[in-house]
Formats: sequence, structure tokens, C-alpha cells
Amino acid sequence: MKKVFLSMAMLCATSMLFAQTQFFTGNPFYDTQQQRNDQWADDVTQLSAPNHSHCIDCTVDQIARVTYTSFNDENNSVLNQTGNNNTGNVYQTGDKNYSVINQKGNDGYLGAGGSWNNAQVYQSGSMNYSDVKQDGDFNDSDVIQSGMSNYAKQDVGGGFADHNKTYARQIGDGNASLQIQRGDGNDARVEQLTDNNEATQIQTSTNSHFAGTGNGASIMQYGGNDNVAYQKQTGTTNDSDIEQNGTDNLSKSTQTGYSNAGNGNTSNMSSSLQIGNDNKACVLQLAGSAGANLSAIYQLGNTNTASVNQDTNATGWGNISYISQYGNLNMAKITQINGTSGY
Amino acid sequence: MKKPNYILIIVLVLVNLIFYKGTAQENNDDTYIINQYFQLNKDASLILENKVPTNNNKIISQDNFVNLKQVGDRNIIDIKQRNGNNTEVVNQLGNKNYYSFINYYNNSPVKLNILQQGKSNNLQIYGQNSLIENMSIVQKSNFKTIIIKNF
Repeated sequence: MKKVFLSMAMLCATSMLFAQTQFFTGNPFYDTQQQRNDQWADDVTQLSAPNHSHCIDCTVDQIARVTYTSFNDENNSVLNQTGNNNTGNVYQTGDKNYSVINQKGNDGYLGAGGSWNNAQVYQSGSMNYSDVKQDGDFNDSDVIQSGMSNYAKQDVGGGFADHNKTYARQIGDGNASLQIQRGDGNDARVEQLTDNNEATQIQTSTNSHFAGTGNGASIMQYGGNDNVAYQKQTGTTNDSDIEQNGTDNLSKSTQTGYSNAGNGNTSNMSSSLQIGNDNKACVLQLAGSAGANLSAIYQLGNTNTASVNQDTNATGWGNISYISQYGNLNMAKITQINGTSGY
Repeated sequence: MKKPNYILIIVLVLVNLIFYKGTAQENNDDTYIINQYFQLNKDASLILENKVPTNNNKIISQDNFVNLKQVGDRNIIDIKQRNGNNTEVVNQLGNKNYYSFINYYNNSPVKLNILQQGKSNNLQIYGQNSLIENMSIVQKSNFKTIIIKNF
């Protein structure tokens, strides 16, 4: 009996030892990395001037999951509210629920309606779908989904709307979230847990003279693989944060200024944290007149890729790029253009 | 009958310690990396905040700044910069790493501080003639390769 216990202990200890060392010594991607080496060598020898080239293989499959089927055993809720200071709460449990909240009014500050509204949606179950529409200023929206195959979409602002907060939290499999904010001083955040989630956030404005200033967007994806996080911001002084923990994740942050009416892009800030293997982080920052770009990418794991493209025009204040990669077979590519880029 | 129980307890304690140690190491790694990430963002934010309102700051105006750190084997760095005063702080720690820096259309001074530690490292720098000031390259490895072509 004693020998049996000792043998089991030795087996466990040996297994732990090999499990810990295999992560750092294994090299299953050598061929792929060799191809990368050749590709980079070709790029170097070409000596072509840098331009606004995007990341290698950095594409984002957009969210297109608007599916809703209504049968007898399903709940659905549609709530339309106009005016100011409205509150809409929807609580759904069960399978295949559907919820829409429309809090619409004028999309201007202190207009005839649509400001200081609050929307809260909680859905627990499978195949839920939620859509929230808010126009105006100082609106809050929270969507929480727990279950399988959920989809949340939130659209804030018609032309431009200021100081809105849009939040989505998804816990479960196959979730997706798309959030759009137009105007200034808006805050958007998506938190996703577990498998196969994807999130896209767009902060912009359809008004050519107000491109969107002081917006903040963040996506947190913890757990799960093949996650996609994409944030697009136009305007001035925008902030983008993406955190991912898993394998085969893709984060893409695009921050560009508006070229009309002298509204250059100033103070772009983008930060990405990825923990895991085979992740990609891509940052594209274009600063207009009197602009500065800052990008920080942190990757922990093997076979990660970080790509940064930064560009300021002749009167720009410069580009700053931080990249830290811990692991093997990682790749970092930085392209910085300062002035005379024509942007 | 008591002796096997003692052995069982000791074995279980050892196994638990091993698992606890492994988990603690993983958590420490993640905690370390996350703490550095937030510290990095904090530092970067401070830099940018100080940078934006002071357009007359000649040290950081019209700059391209790169701070890059790679720890591991077979990592690749490719940097392309065009115009502006370029500053690079690059650390590569590991074996068979690759570093490339190409500077275009620029006659401004470049500040480089590069450290490569490991075997079979490769360093290539194109462009930027004698104005490559403040350059310090440290390679601690066998099979070193340094190619610097200033046009």
C-alpha cells in the first residue's frame, strides 16, 4: 500500500513538472514562424516607404446576428418611450426571449425629449435578443444577458448625442454585442465571459462638424477562444481599451480623425492586454492637425502578433508606441509616420 | 493500520502543495503581467497628458517613440519610421530573436537603446547616416549578426 501511495505521488509530481515545462519549451509553430521570418525578410529587403498598411490578417468579421423567431412559448417585449427622465426595465427568464427598448426624442441637448432616460434589460436563458435605441443626452443603458446564443445591440444618438453610458454584459456561449454611440463624452463598455463572444463598438458622429470628442470605449473578454474585439473611434481625444484572456483572440482598435472643418484628431489612446496564445492585436491611429497617438500593447503567451500603425500630419505632436511581449514566437510590427503623410 | 494513514496524509499534503505551488506561480505570472500592464498604461497616459498641452516641448514634439520589450525565443521585431525625431528603447531577451529597424526620409537624430541577449540574434538597421546619435547596442550572445546601412 505504501508503494502504491508513493508511486501515485511521484506520478502526480512528475506530471505537474512536465505540464509546467511543456508550455515554455514546446515549439509546434516553427514552420509557421519560419514562414513569418521569410515574410518579414522580404518586407525588409523591399525597402518600400511605410504607408497606412493595416495589420497582417487583421480582419474583423462583423456582427450579423439579428435573428428572432416568435412562437407561443416565447416571451417578447417592446417598450417605446418618448420624453425625458424615462425608465424602462425588462426582466426576462426562459428561452428565446426578445426585447426592444426605444427611448427616442430629439437628439440634441435638452431637446423636446430623449434625455436622462434609463434602460435596463436582464435576460437569462438561451437565444435571447435585445435591442436598445436611445437618442439624446445623459442616457444610461445596461443590458445583461446570461445564456446561450444571445445578441445585444445598442444604438445611441441619431446625429449626435452627448454624455451617454452604454453597457453590455454577456455571460454564456456564442454571444455577440454591437454598440454604436454618436456624439461627445460618451462611454461604452462590453464585458463578455466564456466562449465564442465577439464585440464591436463604434463611436462616431454622422454630423460632419462634430466628429465625436472625449469618447471612451472598452471591451473585456475573459475566457473562451476565438474572441473578436473591434473598436472604431472617430474624432478627438478618444480612448480605447481592450482586454482579452484566451486563445486565438483578435483585438483591433482603429482611431481616426475627421478630415472636415479642421477637426483633427488629437490624443488618441489605445491599450490592449492579451493573455494566451495565438492572439493578434492591431492598432491603427491617424492623427490630424495638432494630434498625438499613443498605443500600448501587452501580450503574454506564445505566437502572438502585435501590429501598430501610427500617423500624424505635419503639425502633429508625435507617435508613442509601447509593446511588451512575454513568450516565444511573438511578432511585433510598428510603423510610425510623422508629418508629410498627407493625412 | 495507522501507518498507512500517516503515509496517505503525507502524500496528500505533498500533492496539494505541488498543486498549490503551480497555481500560485500561474497567478503570480498573470498578476505580474497585469500589474505591469496597468503601470504601463499609467505611465503612457502621463506621458501623453504631459505631451498634449505642451506643444512647445521640443523634446517630445514631432517625435516617434517606441518602447518595445520581448522576453522569449524566436521573437520578431519590425519597426519602420518616417520623419520626426525617433527614439527607440528595445529589449529582446531570448534566443534567435530578430530585430529590424528602417528609417525613411529622415535626417533627424535617432536615439536608440537596444539590448539583445541570447543566441543567434540578428540586428538590421537601415538609413540614418552619421546622425545616429546616442546609439547603444548590446548583444550578449553567440552567432551575432549586425547589419547597419546608413544611406
